Amino acid sequence: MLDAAYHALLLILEPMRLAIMFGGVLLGLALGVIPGLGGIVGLALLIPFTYHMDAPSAFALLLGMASVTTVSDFIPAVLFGVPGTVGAAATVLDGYPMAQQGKAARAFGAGYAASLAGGIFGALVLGLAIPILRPLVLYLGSAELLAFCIFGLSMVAVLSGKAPMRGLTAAALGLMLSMVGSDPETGTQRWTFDTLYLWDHLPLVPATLGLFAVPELAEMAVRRNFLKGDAKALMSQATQWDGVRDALTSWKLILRCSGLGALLGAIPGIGSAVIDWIAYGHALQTEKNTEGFGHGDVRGVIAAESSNNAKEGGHLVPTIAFGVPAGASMALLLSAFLLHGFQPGPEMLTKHLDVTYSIVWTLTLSHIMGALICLAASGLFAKLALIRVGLLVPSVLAIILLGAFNGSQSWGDLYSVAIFGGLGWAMKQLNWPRPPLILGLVLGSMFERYLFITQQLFGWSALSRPVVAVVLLGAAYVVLRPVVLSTRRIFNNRQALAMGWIAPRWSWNAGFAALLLAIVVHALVISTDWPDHAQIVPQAAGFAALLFGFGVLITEAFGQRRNPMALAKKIGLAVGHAPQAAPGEGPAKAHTKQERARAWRFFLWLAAALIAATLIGLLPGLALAIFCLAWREFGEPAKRAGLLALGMSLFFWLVFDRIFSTPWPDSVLGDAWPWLRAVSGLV
Amino acid sequence: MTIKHLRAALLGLLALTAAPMARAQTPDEFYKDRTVNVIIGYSVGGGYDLYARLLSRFMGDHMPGKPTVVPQNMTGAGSLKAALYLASIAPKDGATFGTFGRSVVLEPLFSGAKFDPRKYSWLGSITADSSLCVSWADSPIKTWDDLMTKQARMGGQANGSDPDVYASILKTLFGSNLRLVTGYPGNNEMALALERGELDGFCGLSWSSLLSRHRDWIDGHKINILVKASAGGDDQIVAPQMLDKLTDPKKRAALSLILATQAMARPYAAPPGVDPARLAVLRRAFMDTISSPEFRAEADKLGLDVAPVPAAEVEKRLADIYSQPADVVALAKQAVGQ
Repeated sequence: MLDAAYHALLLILEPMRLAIMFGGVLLGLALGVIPGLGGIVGLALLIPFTYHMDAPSAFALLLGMASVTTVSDFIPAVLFGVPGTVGAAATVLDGYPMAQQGKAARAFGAGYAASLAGGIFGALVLGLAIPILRPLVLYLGSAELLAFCIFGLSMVAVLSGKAPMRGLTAAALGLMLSMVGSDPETGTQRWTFDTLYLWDHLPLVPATLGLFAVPELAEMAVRRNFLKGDAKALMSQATQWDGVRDALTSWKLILRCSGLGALLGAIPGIGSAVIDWIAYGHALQTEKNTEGFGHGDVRGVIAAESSNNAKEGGHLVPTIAFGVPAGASMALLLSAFLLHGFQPGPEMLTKHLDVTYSIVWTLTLSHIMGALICLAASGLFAKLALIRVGLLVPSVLAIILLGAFNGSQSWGDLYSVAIFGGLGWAMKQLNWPRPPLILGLVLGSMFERYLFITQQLFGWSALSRPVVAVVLLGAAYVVLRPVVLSTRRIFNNRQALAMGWIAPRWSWNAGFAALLLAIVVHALVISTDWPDHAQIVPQAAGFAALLFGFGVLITEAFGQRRNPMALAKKIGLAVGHAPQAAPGEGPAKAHTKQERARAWRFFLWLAAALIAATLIGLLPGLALAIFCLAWREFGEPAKRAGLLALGMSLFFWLVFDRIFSTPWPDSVLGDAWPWLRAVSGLV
Repeated sequence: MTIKHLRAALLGLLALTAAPMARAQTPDEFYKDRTVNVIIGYSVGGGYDLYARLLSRFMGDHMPGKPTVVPQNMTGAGSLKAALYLASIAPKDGATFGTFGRSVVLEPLFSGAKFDPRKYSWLGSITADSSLCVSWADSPIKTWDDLMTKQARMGGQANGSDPDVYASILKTLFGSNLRLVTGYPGNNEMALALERGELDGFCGLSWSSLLSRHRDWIDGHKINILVKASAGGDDQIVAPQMLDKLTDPKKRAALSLILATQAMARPYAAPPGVDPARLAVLRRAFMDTISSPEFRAEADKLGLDVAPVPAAEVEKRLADIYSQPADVVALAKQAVGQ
């Protein structure tokens, strides 16, 4: 075995292969930075180029690319609050506030160091687990998958912060949203409204970008201020090393979160979109002094990034050992295996052991390359921080829309990102935690699937399976600990927490809760037409949403704290800081009237961009939107706005049309003059 | 906007409207420097995708003007989205064709999907296929009779997917006692569940996937093939033929209707109404490509089965399917669990 590992290392260290890997790493870093693009499109692009390569070179290219997208996805998350891939959403929570406080360099240093450590940890897990890979995976049956899924969902308790009712409502809503589409058991079209788009469930990329990126961008458009401090100070090497040192001091946290990432990564279905949140929740629960989490605590960045990078090694475990892809990118990699004549399975651990080890080495080396390149190039990214808001917001908005469109390359993606964007903005403004929604959305359909399979195959005896029991106990601990703590707190502070009842009173929050309740009721009414088995989980989620949502509505509309100041003092919160704020939620200060008007206009611009895209095609529509937004909304000179629109569209055209041959959505213009579509391919 | 700008804009518009009035091109001129799009109804990595990518790699060389052939994945609704796209939206200029699930051509009959598969400009199919029911070697389910009489735990994915469809056929047309455990995300996950002993077996595994994905199952005698279901021509598979187990003529007709799609297992079609000269070019190139030694060698390497089915054969099968009496269609619909 050591022989094979050594032999594989020599294979990988051949200069030509290293050069190929380096090329892959560069492409991967570039893809990670652009929201919506990532390992999946990269693999689709690169696989044809590997036809004529030998296997180690091919995997050096493919994995070199795929594994570092999670290193660089960190950059837009910190600088703009826009996660570069779905796996970087949790990074935004602390990384973006750090940048706003002028600590971007420190966040960068800590993030890259954590990425590097996580990536190597993942590779190490894969390398060491090779002899026991198959028995390990065989141990994970449907009941175990269900248990892990429940464990993931239990994190809602932690990620709801101090707004448990709202968090639970959001999670139940997320569960309901995950049920949209064709039901796995009866094939019923649930909440699809006769659209093909919803048939295959809501794609994650538009949902993540909408929930996490659009609200930050709206905030940027509203506040009109950007990063503090000048670029040089922002990105100084010295502060970057401070970040690296932060990561080193938190080595225990890195180990735990990497372990969690690698373990959860190995479980098919639990994808990168939730792994970072689970690790973040874990950090929130186990670290001391967590008040700063969500407001720029470097440990939040470290937890999210280390888990996010360790998962790649975990992902490869079931792929290599059984050909069961743990995620979409692994499904692609699987096709590369087949293309090169490898059958994932026992042969990979015996006959082709050297190839398997070359994969382990590629993971390790590409993470080192990726982290070093990013550390060295930070000065370059600092320049981004100098771009004026008026040029930045239109460009980033266009990138987000294009990235979302890459979710399933249909019109529905654009509507999704806009709707989730509005929802995310409302939730952010009203202090509703957003992570529980994503947890529900990602894990919901998997939960339903394995719930039915487990119930049919094992019934209650599933609970006697050791892994199931241990994981469920872990989930119970995660849920019950905050409950116990808060009960104790309430008991100790009865007087301060006492609620009084007043006459009904309007607030935005009550209105939002009422709107959500109306939607849930409507959805429940629709669901009564479905076959029994298709109803169970969606209705359970629906009634949970009703229950919790109603709780929120009641406290918002009728409740009043008798003693808000005393409460704040007792539970040790700074006065003025919203006591019910969840991590990362809540604007720092209320918006002025002018700023509220800007927020409305931002969403009107978003709608206008979509209308323009409907009329004249996505790419031309976005060009127009960039121009108008920069010119009219941000008051840039028309010439500069025009140059920006032209430059960005050229860039988009090169990347999305020429390189990724994106099939552009149909527009009114193209329908009217089909030859225009045939000639340009754009409308 | 000044008059000068206006005039320039008008001139531009005029130039654009003049463009389509170009003279008739020969196929050679048309395909030269052109990009031909191959729409794949499934995501990257599956069997349909693998075949389509292989075809795209070689087909350009077999066409006049040597166009670039680019595969594009259009996933959605079990490839129904791609089928509908090809039937109504896709450009009909002969520079776009695509592939979708073999049983999608039955959707208009069973679920009322609004398109007519007979109207496609068919190129043909790369292979015919057989659908198998398999069980793990150490499961108590070892033969066709076991499958009929014992409570076999058979895996499924979703109503309408192949494993569920064939399990449903066994239950409704043959009165099998099998128990369908549905909800697995895909074939790979079911294969793992088999190996783990969670399931006894599953149906709807196509012979071509077995060859390309699980060769070791055959070589290592890890599975029992309980039954094969095809439209004929699969004597290399040692297993009872599903159709032979039925005697009732109406049931036989219903099963035949469903199995006819196995004869077009990797179907390729261009939109309806493609210019006949260009369609002839596409058909010839398609057959030339999949018969060429380079293509065969590469397919062999990937374990992909190739047995070309010409367009005429596909059209004949479809005409046959769509001329069945209503009661046979109704029984078939009931059999597949719709």
